[in-house]
Amino acid sequence: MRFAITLLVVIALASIIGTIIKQNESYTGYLVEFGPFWFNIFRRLGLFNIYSTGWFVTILGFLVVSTSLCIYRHAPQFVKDMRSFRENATLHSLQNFQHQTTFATTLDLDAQTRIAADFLNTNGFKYKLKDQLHASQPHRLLAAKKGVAQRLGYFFAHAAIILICIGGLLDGNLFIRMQEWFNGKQVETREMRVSQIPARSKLSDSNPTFRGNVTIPEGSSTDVLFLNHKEGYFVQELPFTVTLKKFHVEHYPTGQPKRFASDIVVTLKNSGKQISGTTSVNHPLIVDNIAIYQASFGDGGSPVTLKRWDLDAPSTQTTDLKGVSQSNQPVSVHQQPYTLELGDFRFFNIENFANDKTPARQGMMDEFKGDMENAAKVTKEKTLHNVGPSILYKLRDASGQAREYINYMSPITLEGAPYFISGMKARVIDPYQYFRFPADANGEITGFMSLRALLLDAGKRKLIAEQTAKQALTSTALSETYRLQFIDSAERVLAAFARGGFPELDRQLKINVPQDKRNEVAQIYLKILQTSALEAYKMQHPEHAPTGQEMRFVLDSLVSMSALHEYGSSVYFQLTDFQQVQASGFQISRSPAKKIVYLGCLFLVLGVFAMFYIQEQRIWLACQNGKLLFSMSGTRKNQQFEHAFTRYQAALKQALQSPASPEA
Amino acid sequence: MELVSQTSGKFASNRFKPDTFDLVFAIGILLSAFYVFTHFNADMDIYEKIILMATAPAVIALGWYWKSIRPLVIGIAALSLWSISLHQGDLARAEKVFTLRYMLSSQSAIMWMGVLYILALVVAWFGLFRRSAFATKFATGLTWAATLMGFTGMFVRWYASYLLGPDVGHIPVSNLYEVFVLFCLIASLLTLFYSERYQGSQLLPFALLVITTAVGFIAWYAVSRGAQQIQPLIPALQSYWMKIHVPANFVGYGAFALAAMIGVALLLTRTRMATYLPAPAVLDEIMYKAIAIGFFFFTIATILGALWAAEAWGGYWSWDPKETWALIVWLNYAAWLHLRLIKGVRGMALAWWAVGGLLVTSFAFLGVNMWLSGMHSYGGL
Ligand code: HEM
Repeated sequence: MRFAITLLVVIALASIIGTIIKQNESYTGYLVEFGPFWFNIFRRLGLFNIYSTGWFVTILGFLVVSTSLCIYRHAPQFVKDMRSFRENATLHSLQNFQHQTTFATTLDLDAQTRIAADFLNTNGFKYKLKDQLHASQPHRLLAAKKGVAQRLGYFFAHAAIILICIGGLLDGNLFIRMQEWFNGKQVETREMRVSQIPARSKLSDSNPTFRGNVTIPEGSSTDVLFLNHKEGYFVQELPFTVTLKKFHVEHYPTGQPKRFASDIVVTLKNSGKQISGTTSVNHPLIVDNIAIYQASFGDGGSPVTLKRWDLDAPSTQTTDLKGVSQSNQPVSVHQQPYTLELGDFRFFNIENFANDKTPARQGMMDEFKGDMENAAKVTKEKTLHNVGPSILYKLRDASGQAREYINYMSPITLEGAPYFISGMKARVIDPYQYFRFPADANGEITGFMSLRALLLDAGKRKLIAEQTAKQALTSTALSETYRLQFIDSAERVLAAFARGGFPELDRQLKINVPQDKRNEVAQIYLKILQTSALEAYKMQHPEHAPTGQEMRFVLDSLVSMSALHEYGSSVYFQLTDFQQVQASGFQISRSPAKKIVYLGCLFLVLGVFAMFYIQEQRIWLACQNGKLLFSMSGTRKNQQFEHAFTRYQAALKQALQSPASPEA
Repeated sequence: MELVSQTSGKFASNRFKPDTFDLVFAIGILLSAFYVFTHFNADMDIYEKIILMATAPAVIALGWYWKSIRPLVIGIAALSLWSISLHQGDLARAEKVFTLRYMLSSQSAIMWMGVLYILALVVAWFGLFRRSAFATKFATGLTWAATLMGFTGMFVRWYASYLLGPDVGHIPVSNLYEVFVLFCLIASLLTLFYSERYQGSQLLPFALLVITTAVGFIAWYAVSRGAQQIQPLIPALQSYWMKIHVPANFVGYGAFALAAMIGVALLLTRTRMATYLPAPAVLDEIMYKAIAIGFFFFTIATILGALWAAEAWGGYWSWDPKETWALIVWLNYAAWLHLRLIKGVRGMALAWWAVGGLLVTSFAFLGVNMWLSGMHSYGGL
């Protein structure tokens, strides 16, 4: 018994480890996480898939054994106890019960018996009657029992444990291990096409139990499954082919996902029979005892068109580039070979770029008040919304250095104006650094690009500077020399800005201007720059004077141009067209022992209930002449039992006093 | 040989005989169930019809088995319906209409629940130390009131969720905030039940310690995290299993929490506090009862979880952290029960164990959500 309890505790403790170390991850991941030293120790101990390691399974085995033994040990005794009425209890022993009373009565044996029997029946006892009329103390014994099913509870609860453990073992990776031990199967650790995977890592569809995953792009099919096992995986052949017709996502108005569902067609290999259906989360599709679950989803390789902007070419020449997400292709930048690694294409992006500023609150009290008001509401205005499609890509140079970019297809409105957004990060772990390009009047990026091209074009600088001078120096009174000076400095400002944006201007300022003048001069530089930009814009849009919106566009453009020096690449791939192809991840499992486990569960519930809520009670009523002995015992002497005893006592007392038999 | 084949009826059997209130109660429940069934038949799917049909008799049986709960049931129905009628199908009114804003909107009702529990705690301890029967009675009353408000809040929340959108609406047992309220309610019901069955057993002061702690958490969670906002159900949670799996679990948690607090009381009987406390034997028995019922429901809940997982995750058992911790809790109490039932161990050792059990349970309940990632990461903090 102690052993059983120890087992329970040990299993509990062992299970904890598995919840702390994430199970069945990639071994390389573990290596990084724990370092070689601990990695090896942990691997030896099997902590990475603890619930299927030898020692853990062995403990479970012990659990089964000890429980079985327990049943075996108790069964005969229990059955006997349940059957028996214990009608052989001696009067002497009955008198020594903790719960017993003797009632004096004038009634004869039969009358007593009648009352006793009546009493037992009414209270739901089964009894057996035994005459001891020739014993030293002659008496007639009614031995009664009730609630013996409590013992059954014990059997059920324990049988349940055994059933569940065995069922679980069968549905676990037992068979896979057998294939390893006796059938020379080995896990595959390399990434490779299914066709190339050697037979020793493939499991035939006769494998009775398996549970694995597979991802299928829309329009494609598969007839295999990947079972993660130890440091690698097995390929499980399926008795059918699964074809993904279409994957659906539905969203709530708030943007949270509402439904993931896949329309699939299953084609049985042996009969060629086709079954089409839909599987969605919580609604698996079951085909000859193999269940197909909606597990995950993603981009299945979508054809996309990217418009390539060369940022350092002083022109707005663009080239279109066709590609498929999730695939690589070579590109050349400055005659240097690069690889463009297209990642996820996303059709939906629920983002919150707008750094929504809540109105400033005065002090703690307000803070608190505001919180309380919010706490009183069950709703909240949502800041999240869908910002449309995006493409993710890495641009990797020959030396293997790469930067990651995520570009959003449609302009996103920030502080009231539309911008094209592009996120960049130099290292995987960094957060994205977002760049914004103001969209022009037609919601295109072209306006910005051409303005930029013009403003940075060394050839056009003089022209712009002159226009700026014309704009800035309205009074004719000024001397020609001063005008030339102005133009000259305007050119230098533009040049500096072209070289390095605002930071470069700042540097120039620090070099050329004495401390005390800087602020003032900075203002002038800024003014010149802005005026020049505006002039440049006017050259491109002579038709009318720039509106307030256009003014903002120009100023924003300056900011973006300056920021672009940080962009880390001289090409910007604008997502212009796509054709979404999604992929759906399925978990497919065959678990024949499920029924055993469920039966076990049923037993467990019945058993536990019986054990707790059925109370075994036994009563002996010894009718003697002149008195009746009432003794009672039970498996649990709790308050309930005491209550019952007193109630029975009272009932009997009363019955024996009241005129019982007709002749009395 | 049978002397008396069937009962002559001379003996008052202990079989149950309903009184008038019982009958009125039953009829009331049946009528309302019938009303719902006929009026909303079109809107209900087969599960909902089955659940409705099962609920009516269940509530009646409960009311007959534990008479004091009948007024509560009636009160909840009355307040909820009142609140719903005040809403007039418009959530905004929850802040406009006075009665809703300060009493019956789901949030205010739940805030009232918290306040009343805290009051009850204070009064209960006062009653304990002053040996004041009145104060104790009063604390009991407050606890009933708090529970009434809590349930009302939950039902109104359920209704409100549908006002957000027919596809958003769902039973409020889907996130940590909601289940915490559920926890308070179930824990107090169990406490009230056992305090009544074992008269003079001073459970309230102790049980309310846990309950008010939970209340504190609810308040913090709502104020600092806006957790009270009703979120639509992510696909994984759109299942009928959730509706029974979660509540079953919380009967377990509630009972274990109560048991732990009784454990504390039991340990205190070794100190000068003893003079204020009921006999250790009584506490010991209630502690057992609490763990027994908790274990029973927790077993069912875990099994329901497995059934659900088999439908949602593709396997009835995946050793997901939450699952595993449920198993750990289960094993822990199975061991406890073995000690008590078989070895007949009693007293302090088990009291300590029950207290420890609460730590294990709370980790399974909260710790997992906070520190361990897994497929159960819904109620994330
Ligand atoms: C979880 C796995 C379980 C194991 C490994 C287990 C193991 C055992 C063992 C070995 C015994 C007999 C001790 C002996 O004869 O020396 C026993 C007895 C018992 N177990 Fe379990 N048990 C388990 C679950 C349960 C559950 C869930 C319950 C229900 C609450 C339960 C209730 C009992 C009872 C009441 C006895 C005493 C039977 C008697 O001697 O009258 N067990 N258990």
